[in-house]
Formats: sequence, structure tokens, C-alpha cells
Amino acid sequence: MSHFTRCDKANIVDKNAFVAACKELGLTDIRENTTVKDYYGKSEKVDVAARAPGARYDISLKKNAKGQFDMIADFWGVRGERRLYPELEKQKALGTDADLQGKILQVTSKHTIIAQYRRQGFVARVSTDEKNNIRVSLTR
Amino acid sequence: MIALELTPEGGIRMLQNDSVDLRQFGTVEISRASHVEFDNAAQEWTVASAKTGKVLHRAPTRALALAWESDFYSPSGDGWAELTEA
Repeated sequence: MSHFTRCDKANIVDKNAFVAACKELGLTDIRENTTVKDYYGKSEKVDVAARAPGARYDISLKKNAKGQFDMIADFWGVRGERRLYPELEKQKALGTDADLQGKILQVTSKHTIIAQYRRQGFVARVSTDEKNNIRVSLTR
Repeated sequence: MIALELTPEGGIRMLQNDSVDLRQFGTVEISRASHVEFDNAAQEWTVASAKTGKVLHRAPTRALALAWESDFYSPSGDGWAELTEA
């Protein structure tokens, strides 16, 4: 009688989880309630901004009208000329903007779920499979 | 145990469990994974794939059938590929 549930692209709902994901993925200079500039020099207020080492621009998080967060970035400038993830680069896992964005969403979701369900008394176990899916098992 | 799989594309998928509501993350799509029915002729419970209709397992009680089904269609189970592959 089981049903299979999927959300093809998870929104970011937890700012702290995004911050935790940034730290895990090696982004630095993480600032909250700050201003960032884009390629054209236009400034924008954001809830969180983070910078990859060697990157020219920030990855930012901004709360939207639904109370969730939009990720804002000029991903070419984020990835830049220096690779963020040498270990993943070897696996050619982050070759496109979509790959990087997906990775950030994936790790943010992981931290969101772990934090949320830990508060409800669940213990989380995390593993990664050969296709780079992250598996989170929740037990009480 | 509740098992979730987070994809490199930023998606989340799981066998439906009311303790975890994925709608908080955005629009969800829910589809039936299996059918658990009582086989009157055989006097036992069956688990059949919703995709193929094939009976995958038989059990003497509904609880055992549901437990097997839950394990089979978990992210680490043999049936997970059937749910996640296009």
C-alpha cells in the first residue's frame, strides 16, 4: 500500500542549514544580513552570502514572499577559474552551474532534515551511494 | 525507520511516511508504489508492484507483508530502482 513521494527540486527553507552546507562545501566568508554586488555592480541586500575560495562573486540567499529562500548567484563567477571541490572535480561531478546549484541544494536539504527531525527526537544516519545520492535514515 | 534520498540535482524522494512532509520543500508528486492485497484463493497476503502488477512477495499476515514492502521499496532495497528510474 506504499506510495512513493518525490520533490524534484527542494526549496531552501532553513537559513541555518544553508550556512551549514556552505561550511561543509568549503565556502568561506559567510556573512548574514549583508549586501552583495553582481557582475554589473548592482547591489542587493541578502540574508546570507558566502564565497568560494578564488571565486569572484558570492552565492547568496534571500527570503522570498513565501517565507522560503531563493539562491542567487552568478554561478560562472562563483565557480570561477579555481575549482572548489578538487575531490569532486576528479569525478567530474561539478562541471556545470546546474551541478553546483544541485549540490548546494542537496547538502542544504540534508542539514535541514537532520536539524528538523533531531528536534523531534530522531537520530539521523547519513551515507552516500555510488551515484552521489545522499541517504538520510531517521530512527527514534 | 524513515529513509530519504537526496539527489545531486537537489531533489528529495522517499517512501511516503506521514512523519515527514516533503511539501515544506515545494511541490511533491506522489504515486503508488505497490498493492498489498489478500489472496482469497491462497489465503495469504500479497505484495504486488504497482508498476508491473507482478506479485513480489507473499506473507501470512498483513503486517509482515507491509514490513517486507517497506524494506523492499526503501532507498537501499531492491525495489527502489523501479520507483526512481524513468
